[in-house]
Amino acid sequence: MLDAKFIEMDVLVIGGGVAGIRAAIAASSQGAHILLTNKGFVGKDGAAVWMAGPGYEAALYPPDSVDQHARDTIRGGRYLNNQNLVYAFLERVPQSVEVLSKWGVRFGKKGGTLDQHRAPGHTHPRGLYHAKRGESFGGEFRKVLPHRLLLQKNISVLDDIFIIDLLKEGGAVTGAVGLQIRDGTFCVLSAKSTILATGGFTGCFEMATSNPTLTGDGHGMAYRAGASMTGMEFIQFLPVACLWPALPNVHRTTFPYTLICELHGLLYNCHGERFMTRYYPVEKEFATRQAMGRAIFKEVKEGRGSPHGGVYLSLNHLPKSLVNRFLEELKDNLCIIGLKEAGVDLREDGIEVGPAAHYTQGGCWINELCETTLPGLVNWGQGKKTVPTGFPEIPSPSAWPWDLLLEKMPP
Amino acid sequence: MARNQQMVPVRVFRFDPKTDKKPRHETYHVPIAGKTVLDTLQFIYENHDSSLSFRSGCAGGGYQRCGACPVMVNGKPVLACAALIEPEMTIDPHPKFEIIKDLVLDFAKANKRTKEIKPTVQIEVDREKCDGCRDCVLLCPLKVFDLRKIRGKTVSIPSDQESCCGTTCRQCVVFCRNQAISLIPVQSRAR
Repeated sequence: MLDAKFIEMDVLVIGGGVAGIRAAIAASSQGAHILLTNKGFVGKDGAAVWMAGPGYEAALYPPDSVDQHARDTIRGGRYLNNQNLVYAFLERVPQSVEVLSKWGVRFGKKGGTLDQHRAPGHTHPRGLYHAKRGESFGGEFRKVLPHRLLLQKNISVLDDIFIIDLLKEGGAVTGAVGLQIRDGTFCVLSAKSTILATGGFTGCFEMATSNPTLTGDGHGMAYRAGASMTGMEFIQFLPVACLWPALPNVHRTTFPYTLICELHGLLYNCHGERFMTRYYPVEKEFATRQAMGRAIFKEVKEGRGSPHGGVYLSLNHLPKSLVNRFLEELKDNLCIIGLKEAGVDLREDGIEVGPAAHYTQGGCWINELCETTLPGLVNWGQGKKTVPTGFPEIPSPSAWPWDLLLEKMPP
Repeated sequence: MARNQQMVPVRVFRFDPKTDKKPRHETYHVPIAGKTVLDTLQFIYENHDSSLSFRSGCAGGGYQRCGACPVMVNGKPVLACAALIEPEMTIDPHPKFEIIKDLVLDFAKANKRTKEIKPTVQIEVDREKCDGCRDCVLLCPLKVFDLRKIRGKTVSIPSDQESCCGTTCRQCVVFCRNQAISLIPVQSRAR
């Protein structure tokens, strides 16, 4: 049936990353027939494969609360957020953590409860870690979710198909047309409702910490179909992606952010000045991502940057035993192995870090049910984030989009 | 493209089952400086021949975890995003799966043609520690592991060691919750 040039389904999901898979599973529990399309191979690409370690913020235990989490988010977003949307998302985060751990995602635990760390911008510790220190959730999602997909009988998966455009009939989206990459033929997919889970557009930046295949196809499709877009100017930049050493293991990775969050590494400009104290005397290196990124950008622009266009991150002020213990715990980590290969000794040497595009916040305008302005088109995942975080300020907004609104499915 | 970069020849496997009867190798000149095999393939695609097909998922960047880009370099299985380019390289598709075109594999279909490859790594599973959780079976990009029942206990068995890309991805070692899997490079074992 999947070889046919015309395919009819109840629900069409465009994009086979975590968002697409979660959407497909949620829709299949309603008894619909679902077609999941992906431009690569499901489980082998998408934004989530790149997901870094402490990447899941959830307000789980008192004194923390969803209300406080939402307040932090709205304050971090400079009150530009759609506040209803923030609440709608955050209310479902604890529940989604529960579902994920039931499916086999291993979160780090300490004394019977999930271990949480505080990240800049949050009042309470919220960041969930992988059970294996320094490992990322990307692998867990890649393991758990495609397997879940196989368990559902009413989901068909179509790999290697590039969806080109949405099809409309009388103002409502009725499906999509795609190019089958394997043989170059076109194929028309008609569906009662279409879910966009195509990811962001950070691929247009030369320096990006995300997957280069995130090219914003979904944004383009939705715009051409006439959906109203919002928040497209909001792109989160990770302030301290690794610029140098430029070896494949470490270049463009997000692990320097871990060094800052966990070990409180310090940032220096080329004169050896700890410039963050000048910009943010209170938070210093624990300022939010956007604040830190702006400070680094200013330093580089005013000619105080490092040779590769960044600043220096150093752990030189720490006692050697502390760094040694950290390196010992993470000795299996690819980044640490890569640094060793590059001849960088974290105890002595600094690495060059600089801002890199990290996360797309804009997309179609959606309501609390994830419906766009076009009937029949539902937006999901990274591309659908209509300013719930608003400003690119708080770390790990990516925790929410793919899991939320599980039972609120389109008719 | 910098002018003074050192260029080296690289032989790449080309085969389109629709038009070609026989696979062939083509030689391209590529810059060598600090590039991975995947960057090289991208360079060929952009500058030499846009009909070259290859697959990449997470595209390196320090992750090397999706396993979408396994290739054979000089007869050794590697992940293209992790291996650095060297002079006189021959890049072939990984023999484990069926070829769709050039270096693109169909991960759903196993290759029927037999082809011998030398294992680069010895995978050892501690059967005492293994509790048959299936993590390694699900995670391995090349489906090296299988679950078997041995003496009433379900354990994981590396049934297809030859396909393993060696120490490049190490997903099984990293994700094993009981630390039951270890990788031993074959060369060091012979020493």
